[in-house]
Amino acid sequence: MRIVHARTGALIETVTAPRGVAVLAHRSPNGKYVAGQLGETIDIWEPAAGKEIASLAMSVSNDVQSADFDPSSRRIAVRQTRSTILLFDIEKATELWSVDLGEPIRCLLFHRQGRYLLAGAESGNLFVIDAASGKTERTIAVGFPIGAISFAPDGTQVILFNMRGGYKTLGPARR
Amino acid sequence: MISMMKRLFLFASLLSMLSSAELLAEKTIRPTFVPSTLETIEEKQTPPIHTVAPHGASYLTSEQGFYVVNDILRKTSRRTSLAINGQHMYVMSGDGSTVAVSYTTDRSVKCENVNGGGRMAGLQFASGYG
Repeated sequence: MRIVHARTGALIETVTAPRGVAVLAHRSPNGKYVAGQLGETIDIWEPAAGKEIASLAMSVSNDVQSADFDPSSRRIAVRQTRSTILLFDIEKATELWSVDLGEPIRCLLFHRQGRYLLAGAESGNLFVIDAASGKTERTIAVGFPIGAISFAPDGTQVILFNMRGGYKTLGPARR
Repeated sequence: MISMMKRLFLFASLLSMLSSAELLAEKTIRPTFVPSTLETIEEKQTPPIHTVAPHGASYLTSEQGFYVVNDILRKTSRRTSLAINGQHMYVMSGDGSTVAVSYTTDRSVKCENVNGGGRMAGLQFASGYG
């Protein structure tokens, strides 16, 4: 995987995946780790140290939308099966929790303060998960299959994208 | 003796200031995302959305042989459009200002500025993407 400067095109770094080409590639916010999926295995490695951290067996193919590093770069959330979310501690190389949400999940995104993990389901449910415990704090019925999630820059609003087109913004009630 | 009293007074004032600063800091880092308060505040229809910036909410939609970059947060309907060239994939920067488009047909990756268009850089790959 080659990382280039967007303006000049200069090659900044070449990162080699432990087991070849990755179909999903994520770099942690602190730039230290890279996660990539080949087949149904997610590899997490530290390119600067040339060190492989973990190799996680999944039973589903993930893409860019269905895996996310937390803002501290210490944890990564991925889909383990179509309906199960796994939170993995990178520094300790251990599984923190795994939770079955009971329906196919399409996308995952951490809030930038790291406390919550959001999971969007094809059924139209948005799961707001406490990242420390894995417990669902709130389930919101959005009314369409959620293809992607994004936060507004100030972190107060969440934007949910309909797989068939359109979007919905959720936020604190306007007074 | 007076000097000692003054020192004690200064120490007590310093402790009080530190405690106020701590309270202020607690207020400042108050969570900005409160799940219990969430409700629908906007809903819009658009063509199917292809790629979303994690913290910028720019996105790409397809439109007659082009991908169009829109921006929800700035309420502009169009920022630029990108021609489709065979099979491709996109990676958008976190702030939504740049998108990298990889074309499998000519083994190239091109970075586009989505603030009104314009190619920023291109890189040819001799073989594969590994």
